[in-house]
Amino acid sequence: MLVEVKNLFISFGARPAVDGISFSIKAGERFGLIGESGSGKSLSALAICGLLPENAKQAGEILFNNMPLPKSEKQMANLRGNNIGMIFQEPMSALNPLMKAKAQIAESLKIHFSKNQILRRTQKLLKEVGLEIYHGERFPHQLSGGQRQRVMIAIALAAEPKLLICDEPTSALDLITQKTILNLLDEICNHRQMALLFISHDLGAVASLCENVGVLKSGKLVERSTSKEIFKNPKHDYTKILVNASKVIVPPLRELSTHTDLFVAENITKIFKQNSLFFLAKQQPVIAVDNVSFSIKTSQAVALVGPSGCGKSTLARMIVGLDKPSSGVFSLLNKTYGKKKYLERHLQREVSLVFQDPYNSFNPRHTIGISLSEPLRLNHSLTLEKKQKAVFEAVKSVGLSKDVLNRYPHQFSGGQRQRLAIARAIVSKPALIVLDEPVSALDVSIRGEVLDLLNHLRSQLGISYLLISHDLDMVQMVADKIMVMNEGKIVEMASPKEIFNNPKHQLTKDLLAARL
Amino acid sequence: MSKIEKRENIFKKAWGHLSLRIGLIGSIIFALLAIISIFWTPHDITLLNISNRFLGPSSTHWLGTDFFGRDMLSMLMSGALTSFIVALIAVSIGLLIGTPLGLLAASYGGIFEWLVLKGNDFLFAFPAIISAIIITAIFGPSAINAIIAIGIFNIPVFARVSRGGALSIISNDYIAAARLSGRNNFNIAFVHILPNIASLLIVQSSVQLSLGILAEAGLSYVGLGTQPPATSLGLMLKESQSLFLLHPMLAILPGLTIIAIVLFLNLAGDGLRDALDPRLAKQGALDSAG
Repeated sequence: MLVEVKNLFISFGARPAVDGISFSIKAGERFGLIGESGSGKSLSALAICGLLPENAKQAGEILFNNMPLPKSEKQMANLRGNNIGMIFQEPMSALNPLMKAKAQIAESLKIHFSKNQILRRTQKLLKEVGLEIYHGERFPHQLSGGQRQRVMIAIALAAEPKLLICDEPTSALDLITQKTILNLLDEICNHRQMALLFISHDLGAVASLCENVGVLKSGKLVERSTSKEIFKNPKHDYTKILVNASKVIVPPLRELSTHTDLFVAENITKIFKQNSLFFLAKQQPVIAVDNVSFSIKTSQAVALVGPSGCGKSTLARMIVGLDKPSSGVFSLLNKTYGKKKYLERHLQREVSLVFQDPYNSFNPRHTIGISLSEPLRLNHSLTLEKKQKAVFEAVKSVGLSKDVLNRYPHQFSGGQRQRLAIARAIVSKPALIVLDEPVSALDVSIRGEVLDLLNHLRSQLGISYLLISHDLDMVQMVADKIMVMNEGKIVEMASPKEIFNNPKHQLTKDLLAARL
Repeated sequence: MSKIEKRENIFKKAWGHLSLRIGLIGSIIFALLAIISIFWTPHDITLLNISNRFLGPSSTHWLGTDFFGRDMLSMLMSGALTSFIVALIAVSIGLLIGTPLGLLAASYGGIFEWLVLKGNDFLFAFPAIISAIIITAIFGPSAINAIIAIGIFNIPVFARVSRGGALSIISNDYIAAARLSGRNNFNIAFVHILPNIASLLIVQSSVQLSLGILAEAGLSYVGLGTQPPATSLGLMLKESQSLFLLHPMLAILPGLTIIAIVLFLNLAGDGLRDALDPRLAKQGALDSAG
């Protein structure tokens, strides 16, 4: 056994964060740990490296190569340097912004090799992780997210570790990059016969890479099995929820009641001027959204899909009136807008926005009731009673009771907060809701219920959605029409069936291939 | 989950902070002594009793008497009151003018923000105490002019702190949500941003309060602040300096009082910063690692 964890307890104060888990990893084995945020999966990994925060209390036994982890920090550092490599979630904050990529790789080689060897090995490592030599000359901010993660992998591989620990290595990346990084890890582990501890909340990512899987729930290892077995025959209730959440259930296409256009975007273009430094040449303006036109019918759900940076969020901000297009106009309910930054009140009532991050979309110092009633300011004619009634109805229709209104945002879980964010979006009874990645910040097990809620609200209230996402599977469960966006342009527009069965544009094909 | 417990325990935890406890208790004792002097002092300080001057500590005069035979304890109490009032009003001027300026600068941006920032830089470019001396020298020495002079230099401090805090709040989604709900910049600044930077302002106020007490002492010491027959700690220092070699206690006592008040206020400020600023809290480890 390369690593054996026996009855590991980790606690902060009274509450145990890791509650007696045991597992083992053979040399060359790939083991995946699945769990949602706060389940203790990262802490378990940190414990193996001896990198737990100072105020954490640890009990139980961890054996590495059949030896208990050394007590002294110096020996532990040796063990880490020679045998364990680690890759983190956020490559930007794990890299030094003031050092070139190759210098950071070379740094981890310094202890082991002479100067001449370092240069050669750095180049070899860059090649192994699929980068060119000139990438080594760049600083972290000059690399893309995927390239940064490749640099991180090269650093982790520098000392030829026997075990590679990956802590959510792809959750900050878009789907296509995620797939390439997973393929790279697969290749490297095969090639080096290296053991892998892969930590993720994403069952698909774990299953595609690891033969064995452990499922963590509130600090306990509730199921341990091969990944095939987990998918075919999940035993624990929580695993069942996870497996079901990863299955795509496509609702039948619904007949639209009307065929008039509720919302039309005509030739929308957004150009960002880049500030030039005093003496330097003027920088080229960035065209974020490039001559985009589309329409949404009453009660239709349209999805806008594309990789990060394709301009989809910029488009969303313009539609709800947080920004104005450089040229082009929108029209909603036959009223045009887009010349000025903010919408007029009667029009602003008809369009609302649900944000990606439910933790960030409520003022922590305001009660939920105050936050939810805020959009009602747009309608001066409402009496206090009517406002109260509208808030009660909104909370009820997202499946929460009205006593949540006196509580503060920190007292709710992520899923509940996203429900409340949806409640805020529907409280002014808008005709169109723009949803910017509504489930990507949520744990996998609760994504399904939020999507169900969206479908339910649409059939009940007849609202139209513009759903913005990078995830085709998720989109398929809600949308009637999918638009694929790339570099500011809409490159493909079709029904979900058509997109999945007969993709035309290369990006659409790439997005489909990146699904796990 | 742990965040709920964290909030409920914040006062308990703050109390467990040693320097906060010492600072708060000390500051409150001095503030109480000062407030009591409005209604009652052990002896009337407006009555001169030359025959009793330069007395040492005794059961009637706990800290002795000064060159006019006034009770030192009573003098210190009402001197501290003047110092506190000057500093408090000066901080309030900074808080009431500087904070809105900073908040509005952050939420409106553009030319208004530029003006506020340049105004700040202009005020910061002069050493505060020197400028205060100029102001009181021009408009005549008095406690009110001292208040105004110290207050003016509190404005840029609060403007800067609140603008900095506001900028970190303003990028949150809930500000965008408020904007979509029809709130204008002015509304957003006071309804959404202000409650979120309150802790920053509380900490800054306690620091500025101690600086204000020092500034008042400095101005009175050079004769530009409080004028006799009113008294203040700085004025007591000034009046006793010519007697220092003969009767050192007359200078040491107000000096020690100033030191103690400033020290307690700073300790309380540091403690408040630790208790209120989540970035400095150590128990966040679970949230970041879990």
